[in-house]
Amino acid sequence: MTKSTQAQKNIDLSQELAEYIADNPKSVENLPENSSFIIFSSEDESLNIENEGLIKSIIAEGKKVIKAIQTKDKENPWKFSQVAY
Amino acid sequence: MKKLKRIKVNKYVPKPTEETETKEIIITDSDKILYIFKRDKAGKYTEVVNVSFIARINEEWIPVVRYDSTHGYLHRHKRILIKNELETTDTNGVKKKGGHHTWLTWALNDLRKNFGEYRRLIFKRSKMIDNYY
Repeated sequence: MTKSTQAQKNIDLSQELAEYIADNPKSVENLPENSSFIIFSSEDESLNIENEGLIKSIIAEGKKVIKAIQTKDKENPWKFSQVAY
Repeated sequence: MKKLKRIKVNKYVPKPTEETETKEIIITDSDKILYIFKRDKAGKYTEVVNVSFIARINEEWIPVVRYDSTHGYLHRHKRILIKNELETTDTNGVKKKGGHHTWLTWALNDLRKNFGEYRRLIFKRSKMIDNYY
């Protein structure tokens, strides 16, 4: 997958994620402040492999990483898990 | 003479009426979206503090484009060059109607559609080649 494709797919998903978080602030209230979200698609495994590769570099910057995992559940379209390091 | 007893008075500290939330979403190893917004106790947006497209250039994260609604309306700040922090501010084509919720959605949608162009243009203005793509 090219970087441009990864960028476009992630930015499309990021809008869905951002709006979900904005509309459902309680869904992320227990997550640490100043953490970075990395998106995992419910359908696109090749994107997920690319995004998995981003985790290390973000942790190296001293940031906490949250996996934002897209689900196929319309009621709860995203679930979140903090990456242990 | 009898000493007066000092009475301890608790200082009044007003409870915050607004909460500021910051979220950062990683797009690639050299692109991310940051958004900061304020929300009142009822959960209503009170201010879009910042919606930014940030690019990693020369190992530094640089805000290329950011939106805020500090003066009561949504406006755009565009960094002119990579090497310094000077920005232009404009409202050309920027959503004017609606409230903070609409503006947040609109700004995120604009970055989704145009981040590639914003990135290309700052490199062009800076007369640099984007080696990250």
